[in-house]
Amino acid sequence: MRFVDEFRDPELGKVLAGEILSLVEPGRHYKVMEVCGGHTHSIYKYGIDDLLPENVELVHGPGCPVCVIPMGRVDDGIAIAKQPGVIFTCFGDMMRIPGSHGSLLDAKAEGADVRMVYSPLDALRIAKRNPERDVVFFAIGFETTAPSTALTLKRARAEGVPNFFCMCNHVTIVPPLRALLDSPDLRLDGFIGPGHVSTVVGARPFEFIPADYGRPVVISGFEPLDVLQSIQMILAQLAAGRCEVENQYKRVVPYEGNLRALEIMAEVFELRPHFEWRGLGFISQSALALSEAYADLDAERRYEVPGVRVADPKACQCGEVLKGVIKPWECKVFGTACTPERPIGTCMVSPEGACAAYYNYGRYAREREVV
Amino acid sequence: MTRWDTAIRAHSAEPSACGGDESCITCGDVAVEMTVLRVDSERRLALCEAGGEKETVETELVGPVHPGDGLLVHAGTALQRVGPIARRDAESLIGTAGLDAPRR
Repeated sequence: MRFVDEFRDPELGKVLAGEILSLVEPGRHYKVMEVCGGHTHSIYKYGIDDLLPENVELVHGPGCPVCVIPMGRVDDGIAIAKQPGVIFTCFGDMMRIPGSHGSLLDAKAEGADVRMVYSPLDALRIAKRNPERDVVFFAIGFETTAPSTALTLKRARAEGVPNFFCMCNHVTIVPPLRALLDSPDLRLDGFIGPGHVSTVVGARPFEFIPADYGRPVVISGFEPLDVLQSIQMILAQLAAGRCEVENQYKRVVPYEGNLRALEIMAEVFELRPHFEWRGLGFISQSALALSEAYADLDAERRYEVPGVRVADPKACQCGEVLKGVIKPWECKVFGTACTPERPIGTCMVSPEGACAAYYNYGRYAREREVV
Repeated sequence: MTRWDTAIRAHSAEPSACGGDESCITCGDVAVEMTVLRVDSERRLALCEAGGEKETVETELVGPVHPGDGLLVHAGTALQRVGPIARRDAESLIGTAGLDAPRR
């Protein structure tokens, strides 16, 4: 890919690691949260944690949308998928997220017509090819994905597709960050900000973190040098006593975001008063529903859903992992009862989930350390 | 061998629940750089390509596009443009870290 190889050069990585080492104060422990699951994936994949001084700890944040979906919403999706005549569409990882009585993949095995799509536009295409059936798109994702759903709903309306519906589970990134910062469980020194969410919302929404909580934020790209440089920039701010939002990912993130995307989202969606997040509980105004103008495309209004809150399995500690309170390997079922092949918790499903990322890459290094 | 070396050498053979090296589109914060091949300007769609894979992409959010343009695409929608300016930024960003320009 163009513009990517530069950011994967291991020799430059060592130079940056040296700069990081020169910035840390001996005896001080630094906790830096990477908000986004994509960063978690890069950190484990490239072994970035191995390049950091021992007193710089990376804490994994809640930025993986399938990981924060509560079981009750999965059950609601399955209830719609089992309706006669419905074609239920969703992204691949979502199919494997466990509900209280199995996953969407299990529902498919039992006869429901559940299909994996790569984009909402694919789901709309299925609706056009099957005019006699309702096609429901299970929308998940942060502000990166929400514009895609919004554009597809606008297109469905403009092109007169009457059988396309959306079950909206889009979430927003700022409220859970505020909830984490308010949590007494966690003391963080800085944030690696979510790069691709910021292509849409820009860097401005994160200004509350330095302003209200006195913590630096660096919006970061996803290549290993991006992540290392962002850590270096956070530590440089701390060393200089500065505290602000910086943009390491200027090559794609404008400070103001994508105004057209924000405009379309405001037209198609409205904020839900509350939404449940796995591990974080109910957070006010943290998710999107279809606006009144698009109510006729809302699958939750067309079909009755249980809407029941379901407690997470007792053995699963995804909540603590998502809040960064424990590391993946500290969960009681990690790698034994819970694996990517047979996940109990959401964090083990998506490659961006902290547990799956660690299981796939990090555990080998740790096993060597233990030996 | 470090995980960094391993990742670079084994890009096509690593475990992933959604197949392939690039991160899963399901995670809301991952996007892929694609190149425009063909444009349907009336419907604001473009046929784009990355790594041999082709995909129809919504271009409403980035304005008019032309064959050869670089787009940052997530879930079938172009979120931003990428191009020569991005390359210059990449080099200058590395420069700010006190490093030499990328070796290409």
